[in-house]
Amino acid sequence: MARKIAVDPITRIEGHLRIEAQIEGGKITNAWSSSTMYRGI
Amino acid sequence: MQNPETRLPEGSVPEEILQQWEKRGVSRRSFLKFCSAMTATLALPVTMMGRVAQALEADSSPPLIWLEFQDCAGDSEAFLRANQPTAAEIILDYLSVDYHETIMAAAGHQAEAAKHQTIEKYKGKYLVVVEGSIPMADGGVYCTVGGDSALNIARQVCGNAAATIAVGSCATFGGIPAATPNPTGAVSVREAVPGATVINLPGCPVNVQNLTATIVHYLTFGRLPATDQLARPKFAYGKRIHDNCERRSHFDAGQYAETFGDPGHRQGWCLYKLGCKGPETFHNCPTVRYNEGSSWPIQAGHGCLGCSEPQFWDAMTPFYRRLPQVPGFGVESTADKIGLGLIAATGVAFAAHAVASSFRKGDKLEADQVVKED
Ligand code: SF4
Repeated sequence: MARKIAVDPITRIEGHLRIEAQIEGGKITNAWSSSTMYRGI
Repeated sequence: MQNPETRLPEGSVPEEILQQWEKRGVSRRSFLKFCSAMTATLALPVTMMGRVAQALEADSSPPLIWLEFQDCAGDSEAFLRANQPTAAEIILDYLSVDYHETIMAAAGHQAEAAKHQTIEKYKGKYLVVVEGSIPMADGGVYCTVGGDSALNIARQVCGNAAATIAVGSCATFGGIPAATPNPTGAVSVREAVPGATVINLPGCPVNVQNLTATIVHYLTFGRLPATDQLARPKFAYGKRIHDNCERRSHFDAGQYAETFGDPGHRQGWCLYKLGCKGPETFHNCPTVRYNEGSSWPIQAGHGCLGCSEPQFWDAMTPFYRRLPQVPGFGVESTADKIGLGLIAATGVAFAAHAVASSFRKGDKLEADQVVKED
């Protein structure tokens, strides 16, 4: 069974980041990163 | 307890306090330098130095939550790189910084849990520093942390705090994200959370000495320093850059750099014609300076951008020219818009090739407005 985890906020970086990872049998099989801040510049 | 016979002269720092800081790795010289710098920045009499030192000794250090929204972490950088003199060391040692995304070890839900714990346990007692503006457009989607919008987080965290210190031009006035056309609906902390107790320390980035002094004031007197109508502390924003500028004598003498690198520029003449916004900007940059007091933009040969004034990106551009529609030269057409009547006086004097007396009038007026702390 695939399981999904999200780490938000990712700390010790400059900016805002969210990582979602899909885990199958103890391995990450897919991952998504999103920048959760937009300033419109 | 001190024996009255061995009581120290007013303003001096008790020996035990110095020894305690030495044990924590802060030399007595650094600690005294720190206390005197803070006392001076806050425009307090020297006799208050002992009280400042004692305030940093009390057991009840309030926790601090540092929030970052639409920011560049420039204010965090300014704070973490500060060593004028060991400001970060002393303050970080003293306060417990429970949440700061850029420096905390925890991430994800652990980080969020630390924040919520502080809010619950220290409701109404903790301090908040906010860096970055808050986007209001489209339900706040343009900045989220842990799945919640910046607006919700600010309401919750600032709304339950003893006080919120908004640092940098974005958190205080919206800054660059709020510049026209402001696609994310960015606003300042004060606009986003009108009910919270907020003090504004604008600047791009904030001058860390002013941030530290604000915190020290709070620890010493249990309240925030006196502010102006823009919620800026008077000790830091009560005086105009132009009035304390080291190039001012050249302004008065009509000696201006015309282009970068010309003989006037190399001789340290006034940068007015290169677009300096010192005459419109209220900040203590000339006296406090940056990076351990080593320099500041005008000393380095670059005009002031007015970065700490409201909506500076719109109001102070073009940065390298005097503001447009200048009859002759000097008179500021946007003076009314910026809302500083004194600028007009500057412009007129400039056109008349600097009659010192007109400035004195302005200076006096301003000095009257600056209320020194008790
Ligand atoms: S115009 Fe700028 S450089 Fe010239 S005296 Fe005023 S603040 Fe200093």
